[in-house]
Amino acid sequence: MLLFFQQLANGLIIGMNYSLVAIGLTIIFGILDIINMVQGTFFMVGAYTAYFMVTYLHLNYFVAIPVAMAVTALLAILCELASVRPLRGQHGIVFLLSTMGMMVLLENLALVLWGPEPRELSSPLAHKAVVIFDIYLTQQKIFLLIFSALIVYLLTLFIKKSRIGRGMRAVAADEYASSLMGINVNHIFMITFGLGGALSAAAGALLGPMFDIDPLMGHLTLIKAFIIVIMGGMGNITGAFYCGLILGVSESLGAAYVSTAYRDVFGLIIMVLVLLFRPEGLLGKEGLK
Amino acid sequence: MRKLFLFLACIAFCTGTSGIGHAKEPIRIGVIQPLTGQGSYVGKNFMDGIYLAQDIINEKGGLLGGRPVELVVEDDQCIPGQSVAATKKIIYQDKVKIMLGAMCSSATIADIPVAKDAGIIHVVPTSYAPAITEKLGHKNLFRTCINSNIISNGFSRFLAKDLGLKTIAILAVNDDFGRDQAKLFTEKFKEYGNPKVVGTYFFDFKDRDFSTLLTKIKSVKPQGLYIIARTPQNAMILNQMGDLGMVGDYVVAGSTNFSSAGCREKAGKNAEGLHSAVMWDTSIKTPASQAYMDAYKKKYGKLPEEEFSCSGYRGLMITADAIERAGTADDVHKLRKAFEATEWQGPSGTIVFDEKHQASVPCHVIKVENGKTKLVK
Repeated sequence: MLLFFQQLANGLIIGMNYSLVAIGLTIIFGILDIINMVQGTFFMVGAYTAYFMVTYLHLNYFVAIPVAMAVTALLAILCELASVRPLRGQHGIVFLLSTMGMMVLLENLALVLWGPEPRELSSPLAHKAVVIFDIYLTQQKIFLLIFSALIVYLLTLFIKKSRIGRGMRAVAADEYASSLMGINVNHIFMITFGLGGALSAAAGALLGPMFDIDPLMGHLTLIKAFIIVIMGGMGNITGAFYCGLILGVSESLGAAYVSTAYRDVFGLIIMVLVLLFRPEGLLGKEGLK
Repeated sequence: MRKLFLFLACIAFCTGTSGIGHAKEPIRIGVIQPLTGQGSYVGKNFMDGIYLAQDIINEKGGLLGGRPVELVVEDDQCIPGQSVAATKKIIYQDKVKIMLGAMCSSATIADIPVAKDAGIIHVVPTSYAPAITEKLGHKNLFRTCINSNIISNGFSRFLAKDLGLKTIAILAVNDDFGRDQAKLFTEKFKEYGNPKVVGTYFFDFKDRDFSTLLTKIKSVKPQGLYIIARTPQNAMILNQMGDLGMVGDYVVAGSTNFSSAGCREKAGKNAEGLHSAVMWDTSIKTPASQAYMDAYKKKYGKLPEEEFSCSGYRGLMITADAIERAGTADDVHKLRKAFEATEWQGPSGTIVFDEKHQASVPCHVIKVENGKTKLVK
């Protein structure tokens, strides 16, 4: 039984992290209708920005997280301007390729600038054990859970209540009609990309102290985020949030009770099942619209 | 005018290169190692060792009466496909007659047929999969490092007899290196009394989250844990064991190359008491080993971080020794004969090749105490 609860906790923590990246991916898909391959790279950039803030500028780790989110949001906006805006109106596959190009460019840039060897992002909470009913966690893991949940809550509030959030939903529903209603679609696109980048960056900066960071760390994360977005329904934030947790927990429990060698397979099996029986996603297609 | 300039440039180039050719044409040796990706830590250490050997050879005036050694280095990221591409490049574009590589067994296994078809000398300096010499080996292939058979024999005996372990779990990287070591260790471990392997768990060589696997191992409650991983994954595993409250509850053993300075530094107190199997370590103080460490310290200003630097050094030194005795760097037949007659004194003892071209490299056991390694056996 202890094994079950420990694996559940492990799964929830990693799942929460998947959720953050997947929500970024899903809002960009929901609003811009493009598949953003740079999302995993933002995860890496966020982790590295936090690393440089903490290691070289001796910034407090808790300050470094929002800084990393802001820097990555700016980079994401630049990516939108460079690889999405000039191609507006093209077929979806064009954006897949242009953002993939951006991903390769940024990752190789990171390899050249910072080298391939993994680095350790230090946090005052890392490796500090917290034992609750014989379940081993660290302070960092608990912080990750709380902080991620807070970000997701604030994001949903922002999209529901704020003026920009309403604009985002309007653009998601009908880009042309909302531009006629006086919404600046270009601004909405930029903000959406920025938000997507910031979410990924937060995930990277939160996970960095637990597992080392390296320039190619975003690949696996991107694949997981894709699985989650498909499971949760393309463009569905709530779906991405819950499916992130479901994926994390199913990987963790699958590894514990079926086979550790096939850990990454469970997510893919769930994805295939969802595509076969509920192609609109587990939570339906309400999405942002 | 421009044509004339080009013509003159061509002449200058031709005479220039042929001039060098007549005097001291370098001996080109191909090297394939992971310089980026997860294998880059060991790859970098390997290269430190091989560059040291190159410096030593060239400072003494090169080989075959003054020809310097030139290394043609390619990065394969430990990915078999990339390794094959790199092998083809150094053979057909750079025209090397001798290659050293690769690091990861999966990559080396993919390279073997390419090098075999090209008929060049293939020196395997760091790959442990037994199949390399036992099944896939050919007349021109020589392994200058230990193999998983030798490691499993030595280390399973140590863990079962000397430490008296009855149950052990294996946590291994899911590639040829990890799978072979796990399988051979399981077979050998059973031969000593009645100990057994209670579970074998594999992870991908790109993984960084081991909490699921470690939690599973915790529930199985073995006496010991044998981890087969490279740096830096090994340090991540040890630190996550610390997070899960597992340090101190188990006898932790690591495969070769486990107790590197990089791992000890990153894992800190989580690495205390760790045993691992090695071919060579800074705690081995034979005269040849001491001479190697002194030369290394002179060039890099520190002691070798782990044994793969020594593997790089050994690989190139044995090759240089064979070239010198063969009296040629191009005649593969003569080179093979020279390699077969190798009897080289180095940091890990005297190296000779058996009939399958496996080098006689011993398996030692070291233990981490107060952040330093200590020779146990």
